Amino acid sequence: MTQTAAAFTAPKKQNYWTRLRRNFQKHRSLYLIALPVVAYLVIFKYLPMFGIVIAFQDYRPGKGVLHSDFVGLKHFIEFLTNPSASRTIINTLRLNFFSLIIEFPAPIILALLLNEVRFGPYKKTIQTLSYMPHFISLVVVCGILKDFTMSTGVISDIAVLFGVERQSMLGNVDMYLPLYIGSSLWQGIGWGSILYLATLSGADPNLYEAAVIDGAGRWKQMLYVTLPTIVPIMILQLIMRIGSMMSVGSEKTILLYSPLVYEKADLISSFVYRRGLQEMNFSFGSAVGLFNSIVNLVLLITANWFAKRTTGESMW
Amino acid sequence: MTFKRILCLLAASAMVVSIAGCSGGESNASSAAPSSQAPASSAADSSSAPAESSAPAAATTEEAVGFEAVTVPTLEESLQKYPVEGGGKVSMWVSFNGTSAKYYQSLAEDISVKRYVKDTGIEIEFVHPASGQEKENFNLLVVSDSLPDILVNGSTQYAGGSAAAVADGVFADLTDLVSQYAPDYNYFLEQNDLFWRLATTDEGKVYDLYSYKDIQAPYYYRPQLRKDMLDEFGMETPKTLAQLEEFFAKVKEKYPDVAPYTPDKTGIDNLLLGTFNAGTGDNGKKYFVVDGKIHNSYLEPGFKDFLTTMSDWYAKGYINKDFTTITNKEQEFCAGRTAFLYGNTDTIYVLANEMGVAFDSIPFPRVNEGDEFHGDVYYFPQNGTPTAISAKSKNKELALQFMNYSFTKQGSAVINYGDPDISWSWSEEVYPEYQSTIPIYNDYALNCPDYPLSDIEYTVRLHTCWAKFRYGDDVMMIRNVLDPDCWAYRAKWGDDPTSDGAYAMPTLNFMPEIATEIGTLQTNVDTYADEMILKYITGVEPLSSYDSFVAEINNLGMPRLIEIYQTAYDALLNKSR
Repeated sequence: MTQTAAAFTAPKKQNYWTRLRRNFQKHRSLYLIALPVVAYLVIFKYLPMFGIVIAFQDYRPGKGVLHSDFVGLKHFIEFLTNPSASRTIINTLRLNFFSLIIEFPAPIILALLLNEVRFGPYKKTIQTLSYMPHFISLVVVCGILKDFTMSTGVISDIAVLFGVERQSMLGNVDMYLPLYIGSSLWQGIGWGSILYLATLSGADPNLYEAAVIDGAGRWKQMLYVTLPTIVPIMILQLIMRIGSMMSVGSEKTILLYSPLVYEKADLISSFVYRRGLQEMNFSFGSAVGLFNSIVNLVLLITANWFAKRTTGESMW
Repeated sequence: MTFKRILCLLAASAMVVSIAGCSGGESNASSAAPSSQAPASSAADSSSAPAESSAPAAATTEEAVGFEAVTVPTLEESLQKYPVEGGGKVSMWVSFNGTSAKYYQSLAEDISVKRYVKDTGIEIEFVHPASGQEKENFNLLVVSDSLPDILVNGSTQYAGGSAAAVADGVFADLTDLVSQYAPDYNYFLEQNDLFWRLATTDEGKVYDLYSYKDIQAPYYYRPQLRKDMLDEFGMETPKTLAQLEEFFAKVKEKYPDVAPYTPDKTGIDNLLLGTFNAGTGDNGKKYFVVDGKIHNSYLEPGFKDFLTTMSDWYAKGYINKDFTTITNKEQEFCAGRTAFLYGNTDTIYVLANEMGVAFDSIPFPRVNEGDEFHGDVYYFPQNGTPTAISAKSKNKELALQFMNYSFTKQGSAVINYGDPDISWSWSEEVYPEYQSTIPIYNDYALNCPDYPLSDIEYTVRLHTCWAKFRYGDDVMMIRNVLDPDCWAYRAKWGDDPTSDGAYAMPTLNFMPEIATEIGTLQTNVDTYADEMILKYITGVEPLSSYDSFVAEINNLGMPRLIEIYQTAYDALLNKSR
């Protein structure tokens, strides 16, 4: 990084546009390759940002963005003063916090374990089996989970063996979160480990050799060679996860929850879904979406700053 | 029952007026058929002696308003001539039924629609949203300014409904056009006062055309149980809650694997609320009318009794432990996993017969035998399918002429029954419910070689499409004509004299800003109530805290909601032409 940066800043006298033109002439094909992605970002990510304005309006599709009434922060205040608001915010953060501490390290551990497996076919089989669930649609996974956790379901049968009372497990407030996170873990662990395994395959064999010469066993090799190799990608993943804390989980929640477990399960997004669907209140939805994005941005920047301070690794 | 009484008065006064005027004389004279004579006179009586009209069975809303005034007009009587001179082409936004989609690319290929197009001389182009994406598709068309001429169920896709859509310039105000270009629809508005009240705004404006159906049929949702178990226990048909509970107890004892009762996943079967005088009708609706006053189930004294009974049943193991996650109760029943439910009789009849499960329906259970039951469903003549016309349409007149054909005798027959050259011919005798001859299916429709029975209601005929004059399902659905037992099963307890739909709540019109207020308050109430009700039933929360439940419901804005509904309901009763 520092090398390219130095090369970039070398002709200090020239202004940005001159440099850009030079660069363009030099790497014409690279720019061409990047064009579709840039177009995608501009069309689907940047232009729709103007739509944020409807969060501050009483938007009516018939009147359009230009003619709808401007109401300022009405929808934000309405959301934050809603009796369910604090509960949904806490639930969202709780769900994502537990998801993070359980689902984040799991693929790393799996990758490290697989990395130690020396018998190729065995490793490949485990890998394939573990990322298979990722390809099952979420709707199907939730359907299976619902059936298995009914009072007559397989998971209930197993739980009964451990002395748990026979019940509809998804209807139990205390079991909802473990089931939610457990099923996400099952579905996502293999897929999540692919990135780490790919990074590990690029680890410098010389380092391992050097470590062995220094008398490091397998555990020490893992600790001092393997792990540092994936730290940058780990930090990156962690920061990105923290940055989307407020907005994930809506689809799965809507598929799994029932009013019986609102206390722990009702998220900001599922609440907005219930309200938005009944009334088609686009402005309210946008306002809450914007609120989420701002909180996400704050979390992202904080996490990035913290990572930079403590580990020296960061997104920017 | 003030609502009924008011309607009696309205109907009676309407009749006096129509007898006095020369134009109405004919329609009344032709109504001297036996079936309509009695209700007409009872309505007249009640206006002269209101004190006597309080007997509950004497005059239901349907008798008060009467169908004698509204016989579907024939083409010869119609002021609109078909085929329409000059013809033309209109476009229509309508969702596409999944059964039709098995056979056609679009409704334009449907047998009934083809005939309809031929008869009216108006070509039609369909815009079908993808299934499940109706809302997105509709609002996208609004935003991109490319709405078709005719919009079926558009008002349910637009925030705030048709009043808001007209205010925003999306829907056209049809008030001034209807009398000229849809004279037969207008005839229904003029002749049936209740229909007019329900199908126009508080100011009497016409924003949507609605389907018209003034046939009271037994509601398809009924309490049903396992007949074989009942017989095995040597029990009579349960009529009270105590008898029903006895049945549950025996099921629990003899069949530990079968859940005695699977309620709706919200925990509330509205028809069971009716048993406690705390609700009415379809699941999900919690408002009802008693003596002209709007009530809400949550605040009823009977609601606590309901919750007490349910939590008691749950504690005793009579209620399916998994009820919150079960979406298809009928399936559960027919697979033999539950012994009692409130469910769709048609589905049970077909599926249980297929799977060899013995079943029977029972009367609505009462607290004490012979108690009056007012929680049944009542069919108001405004039968849904609001069909609007785009404000930007250049073919408003033609679109109305196209729609109007569905409110003539010949046109409604085509759109309800199919092509007369293929599947039906007119009956010989006059049917008293309709004051007219009606279509009778021929051999082709009844032994259709081209389509399986399960698909027949959307191929040989078209069960739902846009707003139209509707016939009763007993004579219109091929399945019911072929197998009268299915209908008889639904109707089994339909003639219970102590049961009626007196508490039924009509669909109300709200101004756009009021609709938003309702949305906000209702979501808060529902979020709280849905959760607490399930907690009470499953025993997570003890019923000793019930007072705080009521207090919180009030705190979340229920009094205001009731006030809003009351205002709208009063406006419905008080508006005048």
